[in-house]
Amino acid sequence: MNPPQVLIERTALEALCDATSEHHEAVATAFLELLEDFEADRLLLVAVGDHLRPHRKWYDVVRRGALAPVDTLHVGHQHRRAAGRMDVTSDFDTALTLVMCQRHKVARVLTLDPQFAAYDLDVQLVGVGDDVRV
Amino acid sequence: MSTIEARTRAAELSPTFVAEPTSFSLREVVPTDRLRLVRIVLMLSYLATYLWWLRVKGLPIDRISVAISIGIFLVCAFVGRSWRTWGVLLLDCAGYCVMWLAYEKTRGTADAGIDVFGWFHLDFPLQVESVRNIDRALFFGNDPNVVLQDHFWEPSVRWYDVVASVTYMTHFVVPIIVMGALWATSHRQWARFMKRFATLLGVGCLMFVTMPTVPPWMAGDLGYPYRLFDPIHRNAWRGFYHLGFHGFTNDYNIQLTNGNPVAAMPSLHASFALIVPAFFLPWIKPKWLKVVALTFPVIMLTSLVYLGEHWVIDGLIGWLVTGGAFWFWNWRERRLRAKRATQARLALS
Repeated sequence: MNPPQVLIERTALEALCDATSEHHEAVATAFLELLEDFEADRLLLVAVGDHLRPHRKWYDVVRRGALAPVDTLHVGHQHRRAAGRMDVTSDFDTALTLVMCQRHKVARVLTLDPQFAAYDLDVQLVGVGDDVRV
Repeated sequence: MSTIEARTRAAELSPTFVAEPTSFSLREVVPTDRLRLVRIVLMLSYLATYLWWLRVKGLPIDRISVAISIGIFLVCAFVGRSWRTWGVLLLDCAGYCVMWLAYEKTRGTADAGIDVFGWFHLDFPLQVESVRNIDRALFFGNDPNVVLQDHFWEPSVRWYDVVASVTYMTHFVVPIIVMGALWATSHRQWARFMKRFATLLGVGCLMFVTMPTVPPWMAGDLGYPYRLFDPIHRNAWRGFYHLGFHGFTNDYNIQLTNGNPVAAMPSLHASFALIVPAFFLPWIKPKWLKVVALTFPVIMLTSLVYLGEHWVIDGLIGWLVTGGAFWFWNWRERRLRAKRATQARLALS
């Protein structure tokens, strides 16, 4: 019933929030393109709670800044446990992202990390030469 | 190195792999949520028990029974979810209870006027002839309640009595089932539904206070002084009882005793009958199905008029209030999305 969810992955979040990042402009352009569909309620922007934490304090009730449209996918103990049991990747953050994508039926991932392209996700890769959609 | 690891490594190393990926399923790699099956089994068991209860004991319609039944359903639907989700659920439930308590309390006392901080008492005039006159104006000088009963009411229960009665009773369960289903599947959609629903209740209560309205059955009842027309039959339970749902009528009578008999305007039966199809309309694709969905509120209003529970204008105003709630919240949500998008654009510009 909900519009498709686009997950802003950790690497994309960091680039988006850090204006000095070499990929900031590319990620910001891709993110701004998504905003039109967000406004029309054709998609939801989400991010994993653990990855949002450095950029948004828990007491920030009023949404401000670049991440104002981004909703939080709250991580529970069960998600961490599932991520810990995964053997496809040794990176816990990547595993957690995959768990959240599967459990919350994420439709698309905006990321700088090409390894997400190996999964049956609609991945929007930015920062690897020309932007790629796989 | 496992096959999956090898493929992941290849994905990391090879830029050409991005264009033509060998993808593997997330379902394959992410450990399954074992409690999901438990939830499904519990919810199916709940459904079976509810149907058994409905058949043997009757339909639970009083607020407390409904709250308990929905509480049990939510426990089944939330087994194995995170503590945070449970916390949010508890807050939601508290809000839900406060909403209904405020509604019951206001509705129950609305006919006695309101005290403004103990300074003065506001009494609003009882609407009797005004609503009847509007109905007569809409139907070329006829009283729709009287005309329908004259043409269709018979001492024996007919098929349309069953349809009217069952439609009338759906008011007590359908919105609650929708709330429960949304609660279990999408908190976002549940919140959207509840905003509109609570707005209906709020506006309804405000109108009960400011515009206490005598329902048609009371307008003709010999026990009251109005006697606008000959007594009409008040038989909302008849068709339902005919289906063999025992134990239901007692609950219904208890609720009537505690309710406000002059809370006819607006008809929340008509409002609730519209809010459910109206909420799901954007997801219904075939046009014919949209039309079918929207016939439900029409059947409800016809039933209400036939059963002598409401004037036609009560139902029309109820629909108007529903439309208003949808318009307001659609506008508010659109505005909020635009505001958030603008915030992001400004921060990134």
